[in-house]
Amino acid sequence: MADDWIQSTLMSSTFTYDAIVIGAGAGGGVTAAVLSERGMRVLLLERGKRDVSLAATGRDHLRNHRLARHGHNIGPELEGNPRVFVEPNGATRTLRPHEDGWNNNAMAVGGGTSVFGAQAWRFLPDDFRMASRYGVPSGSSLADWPITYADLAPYYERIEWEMGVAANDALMATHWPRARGYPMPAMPVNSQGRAVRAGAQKMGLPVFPVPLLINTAPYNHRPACTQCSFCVGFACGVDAKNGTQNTMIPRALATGNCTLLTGARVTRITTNVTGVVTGVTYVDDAGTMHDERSGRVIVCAGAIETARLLLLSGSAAHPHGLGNHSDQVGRNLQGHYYPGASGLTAEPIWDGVGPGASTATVRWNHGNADVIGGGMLADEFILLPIIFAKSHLPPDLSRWGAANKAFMREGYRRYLDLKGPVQEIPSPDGRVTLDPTVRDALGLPVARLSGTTHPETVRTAEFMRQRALEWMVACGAVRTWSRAPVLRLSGGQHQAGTCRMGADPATSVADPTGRVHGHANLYLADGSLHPTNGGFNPVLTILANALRVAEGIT
Amino acid sequence: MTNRTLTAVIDRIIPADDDPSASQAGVLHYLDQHPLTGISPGLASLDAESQAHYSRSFDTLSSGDQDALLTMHEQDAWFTELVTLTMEGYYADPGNGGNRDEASWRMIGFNPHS
Ligand SMILES: Cc1cc2nc3c(=O)[nH]c(=O)nc-3n(C[C@H](O)[C@H](O)[C@H](O)COP(=O)(O)OP(=O)(O)OC[C@H]3O[C@@H](n4cnc5c(N)ncnc54)[C@H](O)[C@@H]3O)c2cc1C
Repeated sequence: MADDWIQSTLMSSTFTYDAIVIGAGAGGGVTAAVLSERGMRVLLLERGKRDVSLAATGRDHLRNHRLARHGHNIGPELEGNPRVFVEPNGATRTLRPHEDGWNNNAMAVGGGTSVFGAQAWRFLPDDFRMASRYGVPSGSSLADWPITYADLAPYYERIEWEMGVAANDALMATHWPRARGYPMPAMPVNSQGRAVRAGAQKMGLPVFPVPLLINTAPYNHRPACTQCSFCVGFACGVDAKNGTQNTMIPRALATGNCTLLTGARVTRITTNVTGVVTGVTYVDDAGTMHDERSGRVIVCAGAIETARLLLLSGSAAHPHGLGNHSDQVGRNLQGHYYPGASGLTAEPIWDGVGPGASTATVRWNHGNADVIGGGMLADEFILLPIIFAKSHLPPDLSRWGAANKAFMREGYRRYLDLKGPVQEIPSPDGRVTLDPTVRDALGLPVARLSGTTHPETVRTAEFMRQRALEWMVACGAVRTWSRAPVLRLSGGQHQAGTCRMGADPATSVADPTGRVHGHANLYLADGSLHPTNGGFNPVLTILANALRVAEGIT
Repeated sequence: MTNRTLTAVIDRIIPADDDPSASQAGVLHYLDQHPLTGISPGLASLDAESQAHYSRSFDTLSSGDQDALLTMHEQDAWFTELVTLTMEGYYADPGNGGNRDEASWRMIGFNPHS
């Protein structure tokens, strides 16, 4: 039976690799390090490019992962990689990767962590038990995680130390009790941060420095942050920002056990006639197809592409795709609503000292009357002028002409922005499927994104918007503005949830260890596993959970 | 002809004052890299309208008359697209062709730390 085949596979020396990891992003980087340090021979396949240094990726203000107006600096390539987005009214749009609605993260070695903002949040204990704490609203697929905060806490701490997080020990410990501090002190605050701290104090709001995966002192043989004005969306000029590309993946390679292939796009997870996973097929840079066998496959392609790959890998034994026996693969797509408030200070305040996200509160993550959950609020990264001009001006300001120019001249240095990720209430209808007609450059059906989040998400987002406005007024803003949230689908840079883990195969794709239900040797270790996505930027949770999953791989 | 109209329109989108106008800051160089196929017909009909109402080409109108005509087209797709591109040329990095000598950054006080 299948188990015998796996047993002999695991013992086999005829395969070049003991494990194949698909995707060298956050989850994949951690997984490759753990397995190769354990002595396994690992093949790490990444479809994007290898060099994500600033020299190779640049600081084009119109082509980056904060503003991808005419392209971006990481990946994927703009041509040959469409996705289809279905509007709430049913209209469909076929999109290129840099266009709104495609829901890109960043595809290259390091994945999203190559250019992220590096906010390094643990979820709170109640984020792991949303259904128990709040009940399940009708039409929603809200669920508890199959593990608790306490289960993940040791892995959070290890990621914080192994990759390098800077934070304030004492203030963090008031929300996340911990025995051991952080490896580096918190980032020094800039002048906008001082203003929002003063506002918080006025209203009695407890705040603390944003924890960051950024060196504030030399760490891991790389230098400290220079507090430049170009952090989020770009590579770091001094390599002080800690993604998997400069931490976990070099560690994996240093063992000599890990082979990293870039420009290698996995097209299928292969199975034998009895349905047991046998390896992958991938297409290399030159367009050549390879068939690589291995006893273990770990999918870390990001929530949208992981779901797509499982759906693309169907066979007679798995007619609806791998792990999809209960029609769960691709459902519950989540990201974050990001409500907030803009404000104009009386006097110029901008000092250009980065990264900018300096001060946060978790006062409204839970325990709010009449809404489910909530979210963290913090000040915004330093804004590029063109981003300010495009998406941060007051809604009643003319988009052109003398008044617009005058506001730009006066307003840029008098601007404050408070915002934060709202914990989404998932809907099974917000989902990834295979598009019936549109194909990518390799001829494979592309991801089709449809549905919306649950309406409760919009209510919580509106609640958080009001809190941001209150805080902004307390900061002394002479004028405030913001946009009301509307029902939509999210995913994008915080995409998660499409292959949730759970104890029950009827309502989940993977078991609590990250192993796909019904498979002995197929694992997931990326954001797709999240049953819910917290009221926080998700990457520290993805990294910690990948560490937990990888250590459990047998 | 259309180029004169184009220059006149972008210089109403970002007019000259103590700081340079769009064209003075090199926005035309930025626009050179982007096909204006959806915009050119709009410029042509704007000029035709100007001839019909004022018997003069758009670029020779007073700025008040220019603004009045443009306000009537504020919601037109060609105009909103031109506004978007003009803002990009003016406020994005000089590497994109516009924002000569970082004029817009000095105007708003964007003095980045690198
Ligand atoms: C600009 C930006 C700012 C961000 N800021 C923050 C922040 O401050 N804090 C935070 O918590 N999060 C932040 N994020 C989000 C964070 O980066 C993601 O949550 C995280 O990277 C997701 O991890 P993952 O392992 O699920 O997938 P990813 O990191 O996306 O990795 C997936 C990898 O798989 C590869 N891949 C996909 N398909 C295939 C295939 N078929 N074959 C081979 N390879 C494949 C992709 O190229 C990619 O490299 C940010 C992201 C961006 C882009």
